[in-house]
Amino acid sequence: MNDPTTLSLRQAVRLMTDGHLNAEALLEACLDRVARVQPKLNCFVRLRPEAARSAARGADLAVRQGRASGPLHGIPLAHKDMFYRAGEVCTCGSKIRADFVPDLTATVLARLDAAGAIDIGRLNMAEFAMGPTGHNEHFGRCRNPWNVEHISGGSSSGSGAAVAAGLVFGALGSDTGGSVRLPAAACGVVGIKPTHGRVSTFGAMPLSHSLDTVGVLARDVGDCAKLFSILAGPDASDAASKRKPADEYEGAMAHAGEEGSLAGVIVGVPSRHYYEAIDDEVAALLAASRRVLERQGAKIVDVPIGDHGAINDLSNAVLWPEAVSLHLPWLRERPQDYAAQTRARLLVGLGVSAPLYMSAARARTALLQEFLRDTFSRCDMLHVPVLKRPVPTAAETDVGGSPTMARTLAQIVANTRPLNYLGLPALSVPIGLTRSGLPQAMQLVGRPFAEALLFRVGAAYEAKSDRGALRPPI
Amino acid sequence: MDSRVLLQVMTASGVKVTADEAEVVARSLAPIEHAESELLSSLSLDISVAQFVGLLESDTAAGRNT
Repeated sequence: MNDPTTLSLRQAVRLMTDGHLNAEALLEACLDRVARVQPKLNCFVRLRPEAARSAARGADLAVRQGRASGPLHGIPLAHKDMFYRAGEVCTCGSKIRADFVPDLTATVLARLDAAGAIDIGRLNMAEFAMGPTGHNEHFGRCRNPWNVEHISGGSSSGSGAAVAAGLVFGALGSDTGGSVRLPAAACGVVGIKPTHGRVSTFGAMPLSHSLDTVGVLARDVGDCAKLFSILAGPDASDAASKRKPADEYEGAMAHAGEEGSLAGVIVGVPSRHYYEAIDDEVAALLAASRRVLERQGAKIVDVPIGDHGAINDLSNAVLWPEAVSLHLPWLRERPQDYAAQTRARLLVGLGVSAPLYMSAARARTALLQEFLRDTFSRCDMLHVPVLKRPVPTAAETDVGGSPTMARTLAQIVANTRPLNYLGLPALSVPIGLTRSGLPQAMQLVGRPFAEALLFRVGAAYEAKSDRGALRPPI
Repeated sequence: MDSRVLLQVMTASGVKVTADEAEVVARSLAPIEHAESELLSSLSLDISVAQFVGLLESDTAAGRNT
């Protein structure tokens, strides 16, 4: 067989099921590729090869003994270093938690384990998941596999880079303001930020409980939906988890390759904010992606929208007070152990008054009601860019904690953070490369719990476009 | 908010904060305060934080989901 790391997750599962591939062989191929690529990208902070080899041997033995295997039997994955596994170090990308060993396992890891996935290691991330670029003073910057001078996006930087580079078949990330969608877009992979409460956050490092979501990155829409179908659904361990049962995500894509598969779907293009001040080249790629959807039968309509620029700013009045409340003891006792940028962003939380925090939290209800009434009454989903400009270089965004930091970072998260505030699901799907050779992505935004529709439309796009599922030349 | 007042507010938390850091925070707060004036001025007394969770799961929010 040719290099099995080039397979999609679903192809690898099929070959494994048919007996043409085994877990140990697939794992060794991935570990070999990690050894070659890691020095270039710095996407792993820690490998767990022996635990992975033991799990792979167990998986192959189970098959030989005729025991049932799970839907991810023998599939190598790796995860952002903020998902707790009992007895194993979890740094959260920080110096402060360099030796932190949790005594519980995150629900999402337990679900992937139960499905038969092989966990091969922990991936680089922004310190405490605070940073949209991929910079990390403690572990070094995670580099973009398309061009190492450019940012990987963050905060799930290693997740985006490792999946794009073919080191693993999928990776967990978290998304509080764009941290799944930004690295997915910058690295050319698919990433889902679910509805708030759709995927358990139990055992995931918290940043802002009102805005935190756990998502997943994969090489294409189908792989992403397969992983999501294992992760989504109620969890009694997570008070924020919603009781609503999970939908059939893979089944929603059954007709993706058929002509007219999107007939009846109305895709809205918002009149404000998301397309303002957009780069011409990025706008052209987005227009081309809309034409693909239109050819599949989707109706593209302009839709009115509120001031999501202001919502983007207002979300800081929720995010940072919640974050600083978690970090207050360390900020008092170990301030020198934070990177300058992390510390500067946390300090914003000390400046937000309690009334402003509560008002911003209460206003989510009114602003979501308005959004549903004024925008989603006219369409089934929104089509917007993840990034308004081509993926920047690391040097352009290496602002540390300087006075220009807030403005620079705000521009990067402008199109992602409002959707965390509104609690809505969003799928980032690659739509091609800019002239600089870096990926761009469309962001499909749905009503609450409309992840299945997002996967359906994303898969239809991929099936009829040569610009999805990109693979970098590394 | 004036950065000198902000410095006093922030240091009251027990965190050591420099005047320069307070200045950076003051700049970060400006757009938040602008958003507050734009979005929160007509916020109803009868809206609670808990209603957001209910709204996400409500039939009102649901539409075509597959």
